[in-house]
Parts: sequence; structure tokens; C-alpha cells
Amino acid sequence: MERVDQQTLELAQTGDIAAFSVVVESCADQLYSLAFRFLCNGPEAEDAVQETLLRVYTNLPRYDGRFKFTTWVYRIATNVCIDRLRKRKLESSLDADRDDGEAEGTDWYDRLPGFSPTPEEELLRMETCNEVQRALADLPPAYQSVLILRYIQELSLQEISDIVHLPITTIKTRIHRGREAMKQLLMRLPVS
Amino acid sequence: MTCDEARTSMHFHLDGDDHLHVQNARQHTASCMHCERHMLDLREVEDRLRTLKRYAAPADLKERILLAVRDTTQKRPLRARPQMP
Ligand SMILES: [Zn+2]
Repeated sequence: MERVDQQTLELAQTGDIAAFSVVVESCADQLYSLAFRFLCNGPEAEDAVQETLLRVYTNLPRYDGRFKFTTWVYRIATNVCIDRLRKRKLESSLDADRDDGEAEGTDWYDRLPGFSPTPEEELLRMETCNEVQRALADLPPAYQSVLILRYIQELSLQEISDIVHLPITTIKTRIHRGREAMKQLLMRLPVS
Repeated sequence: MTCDEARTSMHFHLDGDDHLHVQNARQHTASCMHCERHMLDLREVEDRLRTLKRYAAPADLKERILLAVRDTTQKRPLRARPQMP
């Protein structure tokens, strides 16, 4: 995320929309990448970014500078994504009870009849179904989030520790176990 | 050093730590085929995670957010509000 200068941040804290648009510009792309890796779904990632930035706006007057601004934003974004994953899990278990037989395996564009994807969207879809992304999605959210913050957002262990409010030793343990789990999921496949 | 110990320590190696147990693990790995394989696999996991693409946010998303913000009220700053017991 790009740094937002102090003056702009203070203006945004008082509800200045032009200043807030600088904030949005500084972090929308990174937040979209983050949400996309959590949720594997374009429209849902967009919703998550919107929810994150509206929460950022609403709570901005209470941002006290104790953590870096980007750390504070990442914390909100991570919570939004994990909440959505939990809700999704709950819904899919309800769907399984109903046994309508199509709850899983359909993705956003399968659900739209007559929608023909552009090459870009097709690429996005293939990438969505990429096995690394699927393995990542199989991990519990606690492991998923540290791996995304570490390898997709390329944050330091200290920053991740500030974002999730856990000591670095815990972050390391999660990264270690996350890597082992990813290895299990990815390397089980025979090498051709 | 056992294989299990070496596999625990190699993660600290991947994190960039250089404690004595990490150095021992490196020595072990150099002479143990299984642990060497394990290390290569973990590196591959890292590489594959790093090469997942990053996408730019769709252009209209930012506009939609700024529209939605206009109808959103900010919370009051905490310090300005008297603390109720
Ligand atoms: Zn060994």
C-alpha cells in the first residue's frame, strides 16, 4: 500500500471525501488482491473491499496512530475476509442439509446464464481454479491469513504480528504449519 | 540431529533466522537426502505462493466506494466523547 501523508489522513478523519479518495486510491489494489486470495471470487472480493473501506471511513476519526495506518487497514480487511469465509462455511453446511446438490463447485460466472466471459475474465477464472489457490483455500483461515499476508502482500513478520495482534512466535508457528500443510496438499500429486 | 528436528529447524532457516539449531539443520540437510527433498519442496511451496498473480481493483469499484461513502456517517472521535461510567 502506498503511504498517505499525515495532512490528507487528518482531512479524511473529518469526513473530507476528496481526502478519502486519496486513501482509497492508495490501497484499493492491494486490498483487492488480498480479498481475492481469501475468497477466490471476483465479485465477492469487490464486496469485501467495499465493506473494508466503508469501515475504514466510518472508524477513521477513531484511528489513533498507535499502529501504522496500513497495518490498521490490513487488520480491518483481514477481519472482513475471515468473517465472509465463516459465513460461507455456515451457508454451505446449510446448503448441504438442504441437499440441493449444486452448492459447491459453482463459481461466479457459472451462475450467470448467457454470460460470456472476456479473455481477461477467462484468465481470472483459470487462475481462480489454480491448484495453489485451491490448496490455500483448504487451510483454516488462521493459516490462510498469515500466508496471504506474508507471500502475497509481502509483509514483514513484525507487520503481520501487528495486524493480527499475536506475537511473532505465533505468526512463525502458523507460517511453518501453513507451509507444511501446503506441501502436503500440493506435493501429494504425482510428478509426471 | 534427527530428521524431525531438522525439519522443524529448516522453517526457521526459510524465515531467515541463523541460530545454532538452524546451522545444524543445514548440516543435516546437506547429508540427508530425505530432508534435502523436504527443503526443496518447502521452497517450491514458497515460490508458488509468491507467483500467485496480483490484480488491480476493477476501475468502477473505487467510484462505487466513493459514492457509498457519501451516504456514510463517520463515528465520533473517542477523545471528544465524555466517558460514561
Ligand atoms: Zn533427515
